[in-house]
Amino acid sequence: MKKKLLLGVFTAGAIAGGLLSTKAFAQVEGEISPEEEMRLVQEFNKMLAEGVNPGEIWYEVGKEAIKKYHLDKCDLGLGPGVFKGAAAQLPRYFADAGKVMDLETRVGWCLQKYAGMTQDQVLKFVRQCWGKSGNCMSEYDGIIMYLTMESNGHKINVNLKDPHVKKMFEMGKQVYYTRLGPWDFNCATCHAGKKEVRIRATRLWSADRPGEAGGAVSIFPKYLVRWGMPMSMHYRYAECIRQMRWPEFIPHSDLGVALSTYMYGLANGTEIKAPGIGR
Amino acid sequence: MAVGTGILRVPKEAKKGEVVRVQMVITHPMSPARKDPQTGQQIPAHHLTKLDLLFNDKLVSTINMGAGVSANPFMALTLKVEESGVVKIVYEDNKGGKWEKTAEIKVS
Repeated sequence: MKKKLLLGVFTAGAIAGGLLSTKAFAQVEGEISPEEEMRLVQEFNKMLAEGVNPGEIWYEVGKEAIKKYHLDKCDLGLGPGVFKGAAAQLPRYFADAGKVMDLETRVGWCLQKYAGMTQDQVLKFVRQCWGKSGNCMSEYDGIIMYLTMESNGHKINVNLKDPHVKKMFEMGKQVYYTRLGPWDFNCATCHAGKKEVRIRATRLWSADRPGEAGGAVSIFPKYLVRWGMPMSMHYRYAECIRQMRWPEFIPHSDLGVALSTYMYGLANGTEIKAPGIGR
Repeated sequence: MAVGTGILRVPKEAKKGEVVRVQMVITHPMSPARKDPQTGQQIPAHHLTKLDLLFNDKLVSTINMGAGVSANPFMALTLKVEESGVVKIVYEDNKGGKWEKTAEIKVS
């Protein structure tokens, strides 16, 4: 029965919505247990990880977009145009902007400064492929993918001793654990606690179990097979916040920076390994 | 930088007679013919049709694809190498696009 189910995944051709086809086979032969479903999902994820990640194509897109939008002048903390290892020390305090910024916020700031975009244009640029899964190639996603992949192999090193960064870390921690919104929901509802929490067949990472935050953020941007495009951190925030029925998340806002500072702060020491791949 | 860009990955070196894995990922929407839900207009199909794998200009494998293959397909083929050479993939889609990519492999 195991072989038949796996064959179903392979005959779908390439990486299809494999889970859907396995479910179809299972219903013909009888329901599969939750443990079996978990095991099949792990095998599917392992199969995805063994191949070439389609997200790497956005690396080339980003390389050209950086030239096009004059982002070679952008200082990510190591000097203008120095990108190798830059993403690993973000979020950090930037004196020229007077605030703590994570990678995406800094790119948004540089787009306003060096590409002449207004704040509204930047938001439109960020959201150009949101909701348009399959056949949308975003230059913004490319830029973030390129900048993160240039730090592949570098260990995340957020400077929590800096008082500005420490303040953002505490703010992020407070937002993470405070129940808000009409459903009294927060990040900790799913992503905290010592006990393992699952959504359908996916095991969720927890901020209270050491090391798991690193495993989660070090692979962003993450290529999602179901969308056919990579997902950046701020897109992930927007999605989680939408699911929690909080007010709409504005990319590059202080909320995003606070959450990034908290999670990347917890992830200190993990090697960056972008792009990740998932269902 | 959009439709048709691909990544071709082969091991750089191999032993004579070894079976290597040729991996490729191609950006393509791979959509079937369908109707726009709002206007009711027909959107024609747009997908890859054929991918040829050549080793030193000799055809080794062909993959025939239809709209059933998912977007941005990842494909892997095995290839038994006896000599050093150039692995080339040539692929085309149903709207006339034709691309190719090459990679070298050294066999000792």
